[in-house]
Amino acid sequence: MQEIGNIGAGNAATALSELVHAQLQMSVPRVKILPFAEVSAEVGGGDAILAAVLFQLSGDLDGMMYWILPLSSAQALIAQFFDVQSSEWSEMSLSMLQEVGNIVAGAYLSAVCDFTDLRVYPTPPAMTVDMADAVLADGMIYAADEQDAVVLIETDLQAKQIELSGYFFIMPRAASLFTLLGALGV
Amino acid sequence: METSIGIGEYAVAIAPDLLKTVGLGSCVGVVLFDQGMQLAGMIHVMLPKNTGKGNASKYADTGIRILLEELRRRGAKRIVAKIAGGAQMFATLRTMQMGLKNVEEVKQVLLEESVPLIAQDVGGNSGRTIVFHIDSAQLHITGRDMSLII
Repeated sequence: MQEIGNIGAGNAATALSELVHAQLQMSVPRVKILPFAEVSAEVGGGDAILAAVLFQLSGDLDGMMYWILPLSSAQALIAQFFDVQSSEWSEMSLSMLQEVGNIVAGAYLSAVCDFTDLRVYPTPPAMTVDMADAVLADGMIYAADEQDAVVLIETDLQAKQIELSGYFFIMPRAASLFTLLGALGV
Repeated sequence: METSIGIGEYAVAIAPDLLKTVGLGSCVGVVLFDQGMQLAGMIHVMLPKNTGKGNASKYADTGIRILLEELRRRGAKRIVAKIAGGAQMFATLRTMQMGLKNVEEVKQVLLEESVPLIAQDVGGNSGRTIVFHIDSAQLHITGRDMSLII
């Protein structure tokens, strides 16, 4: 599981590096099983403001995928693209973030698919900027409606030259977890 | 004292304590209280109907009834409700309409249990943090661009 995440992360880092002209580092993905109330602690607490791009996954892997940026990183990324320092969320900056999320998450996902030989189809991206618990609940509701904890495949990303950090979260539904493990021959 | 309630959890407290839950998105925060007794409970429900799997307090239908029972066990008689949440966080993701379903089920359960719903702030596309002041029975609601008391 960590290996597939690793390959996905490498691809996504390359895609994002090209977009923002900065060196990016991705952590080794971690697989965690967390009670609902503890998931937002991974991103700074339930009321931390995040920019989040969400994809529902279908096909061989049923679940949710997030690309998450803390508020300061989202603003840094907007500044990088538009050369403005703004705390306002214009339509343009939001759709830019959504598109960057689409490209980066797409790179991540296609690498995972190549490696596992699974066919996974993401929905078009949906995006919001809001409190962590409010943002993450939809993923937990979808992935773990029949459990009391969610499986989280978490990868951190960090840029060198600009103030940018963020996360990839994949929340597979229980049935897909077995598909994923099966594809890896576990 | 302020008691924080996590996703799918609930708590009961007496005045002058505060009950708080942060980041309600499609989830619904339900406050049940007996003003005369200065006794209140809050639950953060995630899903409408209990499928028989997992913790009963994360579902509106079973969770609200568990909280009601707990309040009555402590002597509450004239219980009323205030609710907040049930937003559609990702407006374009049409498969996730859970906010609406949660609000509908919460209202249905309150109706079936004859608990008057005296105030609500539901729907929209933004997250909410709620704090219930048991002594004044005020529910303080804050979001990214809003703040109100119901």
